[in-house]
Amino acid sequence: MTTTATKRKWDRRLVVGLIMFGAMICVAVFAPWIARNDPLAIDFATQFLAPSADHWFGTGRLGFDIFARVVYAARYDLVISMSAVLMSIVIGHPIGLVVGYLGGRVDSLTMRALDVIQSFPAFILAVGVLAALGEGVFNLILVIGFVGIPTFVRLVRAEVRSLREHSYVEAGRAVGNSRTRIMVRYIAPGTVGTVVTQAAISCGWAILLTAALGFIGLGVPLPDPEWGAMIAEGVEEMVVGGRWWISVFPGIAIAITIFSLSLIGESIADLVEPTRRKSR
Amino acid sequence: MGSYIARRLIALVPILIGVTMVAFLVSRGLPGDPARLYAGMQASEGEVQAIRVSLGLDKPLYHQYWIYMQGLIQGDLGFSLRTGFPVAEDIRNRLPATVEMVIFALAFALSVALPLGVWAAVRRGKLVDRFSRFISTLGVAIPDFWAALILVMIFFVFLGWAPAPVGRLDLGASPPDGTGFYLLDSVVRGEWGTFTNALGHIILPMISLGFPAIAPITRLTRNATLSVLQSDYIAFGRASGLRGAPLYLKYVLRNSLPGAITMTGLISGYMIGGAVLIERVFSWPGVGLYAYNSLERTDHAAIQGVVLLSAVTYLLVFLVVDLLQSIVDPRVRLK
Amino acid sequence: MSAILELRGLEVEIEGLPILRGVDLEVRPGEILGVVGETGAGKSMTARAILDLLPAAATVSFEECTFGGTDFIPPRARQLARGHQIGFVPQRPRGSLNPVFRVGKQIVDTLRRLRGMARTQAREEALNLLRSVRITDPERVYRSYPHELSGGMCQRVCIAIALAGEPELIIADEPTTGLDVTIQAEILKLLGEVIAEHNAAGMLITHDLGVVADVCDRVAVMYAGRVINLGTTVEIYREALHPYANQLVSIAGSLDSGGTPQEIPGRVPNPGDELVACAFAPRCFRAEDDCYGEEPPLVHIGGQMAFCHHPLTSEAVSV
Ligand SMILES: Nc1ncnc2c1ncn2[C@@H]1O[C@H](COP(=O)(O)OP(=O)(O)OP(=O)(O)O)[C@@H](O)[C@H]1O
Ligand code: SF4
Ligand SMILES: [Mg+2]
Repeated sequence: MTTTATKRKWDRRLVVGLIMFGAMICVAVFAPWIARNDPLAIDFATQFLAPSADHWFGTGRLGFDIFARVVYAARYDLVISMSAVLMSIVIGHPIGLVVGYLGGRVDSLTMRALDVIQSFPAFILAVGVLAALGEGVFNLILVIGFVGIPTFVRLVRAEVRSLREHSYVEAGRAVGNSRTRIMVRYIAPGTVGTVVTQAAISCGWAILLTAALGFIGLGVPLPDPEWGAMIAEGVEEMVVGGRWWISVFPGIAIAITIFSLSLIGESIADLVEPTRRKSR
Repeated sequence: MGSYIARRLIALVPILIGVTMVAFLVSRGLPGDPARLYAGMQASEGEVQAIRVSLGLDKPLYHQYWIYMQGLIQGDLGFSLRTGFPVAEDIRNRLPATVEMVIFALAFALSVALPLGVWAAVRRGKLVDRFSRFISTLGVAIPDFWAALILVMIFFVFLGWAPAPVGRLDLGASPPDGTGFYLLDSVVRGEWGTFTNALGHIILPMISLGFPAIAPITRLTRNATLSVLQSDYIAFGRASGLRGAPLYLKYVLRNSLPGAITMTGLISGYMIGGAVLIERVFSWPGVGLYAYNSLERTDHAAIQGVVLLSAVTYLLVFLVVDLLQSIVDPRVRLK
Repeated sequence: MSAILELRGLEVEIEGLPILRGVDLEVRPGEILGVVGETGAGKSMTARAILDLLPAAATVSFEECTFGGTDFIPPRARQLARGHQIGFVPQRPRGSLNPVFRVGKQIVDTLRRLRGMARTQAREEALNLLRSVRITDPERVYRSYPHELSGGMCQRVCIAIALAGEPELIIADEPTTGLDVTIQAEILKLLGEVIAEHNAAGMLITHDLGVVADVCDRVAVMYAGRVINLGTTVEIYREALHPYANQLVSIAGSLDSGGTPQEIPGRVPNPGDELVACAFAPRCFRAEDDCYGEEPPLVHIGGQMAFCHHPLTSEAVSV
């Protein structure tokens, strides 16, 4: 009784998360139809207008329409974070698979290397590398993707090490499959659940990182819109001029996106875990 | 215990070397000409060449690393172009501001998260539990620097309760002499006006920086507490008459602590990063603001100095975490 | 002889499933009552009900529950008895001591809590308690963490903690499972001795009928949430009235042809299973129609009582 009740609750969280995140994707894809104003139109005549029927979220210092910019920024933030996570997986997953399966020297060397990378607080490492590389969307993806790699390596490695001892893997070995084939056909599929869960969580985290880097001016260069940089534009205006709307709306967009992703991540984790426990 | 500390310290050495190598590569090995960056965009080719030689950049990479390490060991992080002072000195001057803020943020987060985690576990599935889970999910979703701005909006702009978010004291107030930890210094010197002034200024940064840490610590404490509550020793304690507040605060919380300590260590890494953002919002004159200002002026030596120091600090935090762990849980020392 | 603990009609339900279906037993001053029965019979649940330590989902009811003359039906009374009137010796001693505190501190804390002792006085008393459970180097054990001690040593410490509140009754729930066989005997002997030395009574829950024969004065045999036979150890071993008790005793310690301990044929019912009037009937060699249709009557012979239609004696007198 209780189990079905909890299960239904998880399903509801997954549905809500997917709807919210799907809506965000739609906002990004259909930005030109959703926002009628040009996000890049500089017009000092419309500087610092409070939210109104014409400008739902008000306008900023350069007369930008904030609603339009929040909508268009979804493109930047989502593309950057999702590409970065994809990069982390594409690089981290095979590394985790190989070192987890092979163990030994390769494994311990890789782990020490990860220890070193993870000695840097992720945000600070991203700041350092990005400051050296220079700003821009491509570099941003590169750096955020890079600092996300260790998470996936560790995750996949741990999963592989437990799967390795499984009887069906033993059986695969006994029939004379090659190591590569065992890794790809027998072990890799077993890691999908955790990787998907982590992907959702990492995606939220990557959006946070994108925004944080944008906030300190290390993100998408102006005038292109990005949520974190937009929040930064409003700091002084809020403190000195009380113009709260410049920073508030992009922050809400970030919160909604990450909230939906963590709903998805958590509910998948809860769905994946009982089956994992059973199969062990 | 002593040998435990020694082992931990020795294990740290290779990682520290690795960290300096990464920091070195980030500052030298990446595309772009470090001499050009160092000299600034306006410098002539001759000046750049001179800097290249003076930095040893004309030598092979391993040689450059050697020079770099020699400097590091003497505490040389290079010169800041923006301030004109050695980076190490700049950072040392600004460190107390940041450390004070981080300590307050950690204390704030722990004082909310530990009781909430225990409470949520004890009332598992009830309202508190679901509330704390909701807060957890929400806490992850809200960027701390944005939350800081919202706090400023509410408590400074609209309500006028908080002081202006510019620095550690009201404008014109003079800082207390001493260590640079204003709250500590003002108490030691009995300057109560300065103390309340500084306290008023630290509250919003403390909440903003501590807020994102509440969720994970609460969750971890809750889960640790759940397994402690189901343990044989709590069952036996109960059967021997242990009840009420002593049971939960002395025994259950104490046994849930190891997990919470590890998580707090991890969180402090986020806080070192978060400090850059929060100090920017509150113009808090710490290392984070220094990094931010250095970024604006592409002051590379300063940025890389902060990056390296953050990593070393993070490693030290983990050392402290391990030591605390071994104090809190005697079984750890065996491993 | 008036009982120190008297239980009548103890019923426990968890999520609608009957776990205990009317347990009757009493412990008399100075005696050790053994409680035996196959796994799932409800032995531990009975002990937990007495201390009000049932899972949160459980509902409990008594017809009667008194301890030394006071009413023990209110949960509060049973909670306050923990440690004070009733000491408890746990099943897994190593896991039952708090891993992060030294043993001495755990005893001292208990003494301060139960007897309101000052710290220095409690320290002295803790060492005395360690000596009273035959620990030869109490100072070392006092300073040790549980993980530094053997299982048997941990159980001695647990017994010391159970004694700390000077209880009138000590309940031990399978206190020797998981210990070495040689240590098991030592611990049981110790338990019997300290109960006697402290003028307390004991309730010893166990699977091991050999243990019961050595240590217990009387035995309660449980089956499917009830005490179905209770009598002196001699009576239960020589001439148990109840067929279940009789079989349990007769196969105790004997091995089957494969070398594994012998078991009574058939399956122990789980909570929630459809039960006939006598829960044991499907496995009973004496079962007749009335066993399926009518509640078995309470039979008294000598010091024994049993719930059975066809007890194993000719002179059985129904009441
Ligand atoms: N927390 C619980 N929730 C629901 N049912 C439980 C719980 N604990 C025990 N039970 C059930 O209650 C019944 C009695 O359990 P109890 O632990 O008292 O048996 P026992 O006689 O002590 O057995 P054992 O010899 O294995 O210790 C068992 O059928 C068991 O499945
Ligand atoms: S009542 Fe009948 S079935 Fe039950 S034990 Fe007695 S003889 Fe066997
Ligand atoms: Mg039991």
